[in-house]
Amino acid sequence: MSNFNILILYLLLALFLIGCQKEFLNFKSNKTNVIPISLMDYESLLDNSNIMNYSSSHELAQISTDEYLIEEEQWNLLSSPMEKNAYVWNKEIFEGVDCPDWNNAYRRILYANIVLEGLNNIEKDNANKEKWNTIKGRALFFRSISFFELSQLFCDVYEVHTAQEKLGIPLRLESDINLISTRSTLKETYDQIIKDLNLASKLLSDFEPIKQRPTKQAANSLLARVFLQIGSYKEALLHANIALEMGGRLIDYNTIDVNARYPFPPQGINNPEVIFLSRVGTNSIINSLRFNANRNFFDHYSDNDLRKEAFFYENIDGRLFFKGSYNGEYHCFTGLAFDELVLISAECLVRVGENKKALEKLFVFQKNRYKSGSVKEIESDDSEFILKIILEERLKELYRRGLYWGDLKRLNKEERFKRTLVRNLKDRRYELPPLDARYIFPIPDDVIKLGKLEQNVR
Amino acid sequence: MEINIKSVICCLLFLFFTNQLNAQINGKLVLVDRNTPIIDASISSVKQNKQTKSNSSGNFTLSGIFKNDTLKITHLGFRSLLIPASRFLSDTLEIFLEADVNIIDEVLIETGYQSISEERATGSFTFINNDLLNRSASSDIISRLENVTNGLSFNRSSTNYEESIGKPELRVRGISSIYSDTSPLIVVDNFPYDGNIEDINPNDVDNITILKDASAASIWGARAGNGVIVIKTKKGSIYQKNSVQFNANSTITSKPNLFYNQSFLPSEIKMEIEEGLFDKGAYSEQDHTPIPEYIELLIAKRDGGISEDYFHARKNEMIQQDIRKDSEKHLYNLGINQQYALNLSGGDRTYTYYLSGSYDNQQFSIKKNKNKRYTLASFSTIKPYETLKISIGLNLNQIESKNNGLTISSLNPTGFDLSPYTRLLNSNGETNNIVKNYRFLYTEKAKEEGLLDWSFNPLNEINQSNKTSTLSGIRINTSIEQKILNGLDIALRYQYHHNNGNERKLFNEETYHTRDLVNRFTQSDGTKIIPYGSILENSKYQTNSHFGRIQLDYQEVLEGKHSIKGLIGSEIRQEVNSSNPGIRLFNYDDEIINGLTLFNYQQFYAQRPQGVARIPAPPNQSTYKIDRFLSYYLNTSYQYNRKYLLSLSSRWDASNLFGVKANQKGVPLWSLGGSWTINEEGFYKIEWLPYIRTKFTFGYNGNVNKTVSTMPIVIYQTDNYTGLRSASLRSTGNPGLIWEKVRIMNAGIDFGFKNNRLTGSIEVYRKKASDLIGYDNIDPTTGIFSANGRYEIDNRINYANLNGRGIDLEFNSKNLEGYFSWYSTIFINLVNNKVTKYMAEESPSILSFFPTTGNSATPFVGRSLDVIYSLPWGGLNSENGDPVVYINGDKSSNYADYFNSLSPIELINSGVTIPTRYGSIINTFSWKSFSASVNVTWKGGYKFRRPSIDYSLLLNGGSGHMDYLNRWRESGDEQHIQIPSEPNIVNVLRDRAYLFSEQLIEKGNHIRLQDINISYNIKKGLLLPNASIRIFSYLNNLGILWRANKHGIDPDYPLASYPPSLTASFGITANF
Repeated sequence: MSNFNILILYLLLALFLIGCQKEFLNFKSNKTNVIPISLMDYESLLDNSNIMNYSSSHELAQISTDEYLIEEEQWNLLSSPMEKNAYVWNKEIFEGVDCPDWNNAYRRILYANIVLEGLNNIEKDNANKEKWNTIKGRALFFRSISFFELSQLFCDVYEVHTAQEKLGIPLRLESDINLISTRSTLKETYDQIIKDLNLASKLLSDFEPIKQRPTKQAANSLLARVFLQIGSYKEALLHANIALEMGGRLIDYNTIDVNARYPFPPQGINNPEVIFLSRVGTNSIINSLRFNANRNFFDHYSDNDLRKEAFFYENIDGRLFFKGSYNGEYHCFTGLAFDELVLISAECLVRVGENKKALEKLFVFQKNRYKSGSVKEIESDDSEFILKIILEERLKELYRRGLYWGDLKRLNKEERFKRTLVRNLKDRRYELPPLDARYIFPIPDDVIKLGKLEQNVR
Repeated sequence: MEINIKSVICCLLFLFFTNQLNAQINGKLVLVDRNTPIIDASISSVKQNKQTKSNSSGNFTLSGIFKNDTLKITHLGFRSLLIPASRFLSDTLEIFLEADVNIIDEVLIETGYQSISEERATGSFTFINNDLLNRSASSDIISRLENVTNGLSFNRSSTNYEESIGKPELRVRGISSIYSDTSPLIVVDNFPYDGNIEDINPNDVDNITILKDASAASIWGARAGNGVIVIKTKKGSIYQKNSVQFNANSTITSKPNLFYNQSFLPSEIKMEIEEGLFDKGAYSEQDHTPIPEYIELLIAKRDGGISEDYFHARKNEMIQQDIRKDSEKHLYNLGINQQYALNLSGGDRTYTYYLSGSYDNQQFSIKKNKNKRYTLASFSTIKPYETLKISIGLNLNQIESKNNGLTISSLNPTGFDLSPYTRLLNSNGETNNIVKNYRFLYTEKAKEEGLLDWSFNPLNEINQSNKTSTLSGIRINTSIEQKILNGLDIALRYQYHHNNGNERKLFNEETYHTRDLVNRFTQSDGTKIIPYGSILENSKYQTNSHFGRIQLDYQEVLEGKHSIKGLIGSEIRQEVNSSNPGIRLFNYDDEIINGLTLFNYQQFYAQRPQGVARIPAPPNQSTYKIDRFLSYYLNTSYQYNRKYLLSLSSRWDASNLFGVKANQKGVPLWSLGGSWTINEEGFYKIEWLPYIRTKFTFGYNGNVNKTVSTMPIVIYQTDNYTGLRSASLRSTGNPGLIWEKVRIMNAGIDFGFKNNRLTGSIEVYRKKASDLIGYDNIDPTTGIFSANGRYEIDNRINYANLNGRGIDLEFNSKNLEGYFSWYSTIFINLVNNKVTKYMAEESPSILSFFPTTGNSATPFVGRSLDVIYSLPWGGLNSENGDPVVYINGDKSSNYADYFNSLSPIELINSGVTIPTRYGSIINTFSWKSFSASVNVTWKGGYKFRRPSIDYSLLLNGGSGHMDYLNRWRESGDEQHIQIPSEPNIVNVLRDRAYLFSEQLIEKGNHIRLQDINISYNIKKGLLLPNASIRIFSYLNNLGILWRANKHGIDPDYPLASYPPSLTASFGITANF
């Protein structure tokens, strides 16, 4: 072979290399990395339970209620300013530290928005229609529940006549990170939540194999919770009843081992009450080293009340721990459950004047919570009396479910239910009177600085 | 007089005539054996620069050579010869060349694409020859460059773990990126090295070239932005007689000095603090949560479980105890590293060979941590025809490590730091249980409940543990070089590199890991969900890379004055990293290699002490990453009359960047350079400076960042809770992203005084890195936020420009020559950088200017990227010892308001954390057969933050700091004490007001006696016939001669628990 031929051969080889360039470079560099385009991609995003279910935005609410207390020395040694400040209802909360409640909620919202936008690029046909709908429903549900959780922390209570003037939360409805956030009005916030949930309740499926996924029942349950919070009792009752009829039942606490360390099954699996599973992270201030259930609360439970054992146990140093989470372990359950629906419907029945029906609900509820034979049917037509009993059951039943902060805010609007929260750290006394501006948490410092949002007045 | 004039005239006439001589010169080059012709040697006339090469029979011819000229004959692998032209008579002169492996007359710079002589290069290089590489004895080749390489710095300012010798950050001439990889590219035998650098036997390395500027490095294009380290391994050379080299050495490392660490309190003080907290009720007692041993003792006393006498006896014992003493004795030992290497090489006219093998056995200073390394290498070339050269290299290596040791920090219990009074042996001399994950109370109770022994006994543990990892690699390197036309060569190269890693952990029944897992899953009825037996965990990973290159080399000398050299080529590369999920077998029996996997991994079981859990399932995540690169490059240089040199290089790189439009996958980069050898000019007359050359280059290099995406990206995983497939968002995509670029300018002067008494170079460079990619500060309302400084969802943008500038000086002097000789090498490096553009939103938190270890502060235009900030120090409050801060000029102790009110401009710019001036002075003395070399290094122009007492950590179980002993205690102390009082209420911001203050900033300047090498050469035949033997001793990390800080802190390791230990090596090298 002459040298010239060899040169030609090499040049051909080089040309060949140039020719394959495009295909060679289009090969995906990391197999686990995917540009989301398919229904499976979007469903998998929403199935990320760590993000969508296990970091619900209830931390500030859980820290700030008087359901528990900690010793002064423990408080002194806390290093997180957010926990320290929220515990004593200081005006300033974050001291420059970021806010997990805010961040986690908006991350869920980003996931939901990515999914909703992605679905618009997928043609809906007969084959994928069902799946397409449920995924859209799930995305709407997650976005709504996040908006709602945020509104409980960072907004005032909804009242029809002021909702248009009061500040809501930023309603991010698109994933584009370059869009500037602005605060909506409180009315816009709730309108969006209700609109999305109504749509979701049509799109979602009746049943899902895991409780981390929302169903039609979950959407209706959440609607009931939202309507109760804004005082639309009729709608709340309506949706509570729809949800109640979709399955599930109350657990009769007489049939479970209330003395077990964890009386309820883990992850809501086979728990007939759990409709939608979510939980809140554990902050240092409320972990087992410091947490001590407030005896004033504990005293509400009568001796016949099975929840006394099912929910609490005494530590060797005399502190009272909470064990009864529907999450089946020490993290607090913040999802949607059958018991809450029963209580919503009972409360709404009284509020719309259906005392008798309310008492029926209450009786059924109490039979499942007290020792067999110890519950008597209440005969009364005093709606205030009945409401008080129902609200007390609500207080005892929904202990550490992340709902008490919202309940305080809503009930403080009614003269008869007003409460002033008090905390003592040795000789320092802290009070949070009803309707105090400190019921509305400040927008986190980093959000104010980077997003230039309007701050809440505290 | 007359005679004199006559003779002068005669001489002049003679010269005139001889200069006019236009003779043809004929020569023949042969090996000293008088038979073998030497082909392809270059012959040049020194004055006229006429060049030729010897042909296949060794003959050469040059015509028109002046009689007074001199011919220079060079061939790689031979001693060069200078022969006066006058010796050539009419006949062919037979010239004998002597093969020589050790002396290479001229420095050949390796770029990985070509070897060029120093004078053909315009760029900036540092060349490290074999002698310099063998000054030190470390088993990894890169660390042998430390302190002997001009322009290369090793930084350990963020090394905070115990092995303070941990991997340093390498910077070639400073830094040119922020978040992309800033480590230099390492090239071994023409190809980027993607394995473990520890795989290479340093005895196989011939020399190393560091490519520092655009012209030098731009041939490596997009990966060259941080400089390139080119490693050339040893080869046989033609006409080389068979030779054998043997090396053996041992390095002994002293035990670490655990008492160096100031973040540790004496037992008595720690116990006082613990008791104080206990009295206040700060320890919540739970059945299982671990609490310090002394608190257990106090509880036992309170509850009447022990007598007063016993309490005091035990307390006194504890006060006397120091875990650091125990650890030095039982966890650490002298480190010993033995290295043996043997190589054979040789060559004939048509083939060369090199064969080597090595064995290293390393015992680390941590007991039970061992390493064994085996390497085998061969490299042969054959020339079947004169125009064809084929070479094949084969490297095999294996590293087996056992990591069963425990360090002092691995004794830390859950929830608080190791108590100083912890003991590893009890008073009877038996190995002792220490607090680990659970309270003593709980582990005691476990026995009564029929559970397995739940105690953690460190000294038993290190004997039971059986963790090994094996890394093995194979590298095949082949090339075919073909001459096509005169001066035109074509070469095809291919490399295959395969690495295999295997991590095997066998936890036998005695190990804590096994007992703990079994106990945790033992149900209340005593059922053991996990059977009690050994547990085997095994995981594997591998990398495979293929590399191909086709290259045309052209070289031509035109009419003596013009010379062109160039190359053009294309290369293609694929690298695959993959890992298998691995296995986890329960109840494993190593004798019959069988274990159990059939469990219900979905089922939740009650777990002790609390919660529910699933049985830890075998891992399920595989990884598969594939990187592909395609490049075209060209490099050419033109030299005129040996005076002027111009060079041009350009390269286009493309890669399979994911989520990027096709037209953004590639980037073109180029460089230009020129040099002028002034002493070659006719007008140059300075005799005492016979060599002076200036050079200048300009061009662009790049940084590769394969982790960014212009499109949204999700990654898949199996959900921990639901067991379903789930996805996480990793990036929302930034369509505007472009490649990072580094513009580099270099100007330099090389010089050599008469007789090379003083040679050296002065180089000045400027770097401008633009479009650097980094994390934007973004409103978390977008859903993107950072947790602990890390963004889970990518939001990177091209946001900053960074300028770097510096000077590299190098001087080599021969101070004394002769019977006693003394040589010196001095490096002085000055380097600075400055952020010139920063587009991200202003950081919402002032704390981003006080980054955690290993991170840099938020960039700030006009300041260095390595800037270290501090807060003004207002002294201590005379009433309570609180740090005084000023808000709008008013004294305050409201730290939250203070930090809120601070703006970045109010922070004190205290300097930078990376040395801006550093250098080495290496003095080598020799007398007879002895030689000694001493390296003194210095660093300056940088600061570090001295650690001090952090009360939030101390009061939450931290180990504290010796400054605690000198804290403010009472009014008046503030006059002479600057350490705040112990607070009652933990206030992180109060601590920060102190820890970030200017008074804890220390100057890093220091001078260090780095190392000494003493060697003795035994001449050939003295001890063994035909063998030259060198014995040496090398001492490293000898200590600091002077430091600016008065706290005894080694400024290179401000955060390390202990500084690098003294090492002493002894070794022998023999050449046959």
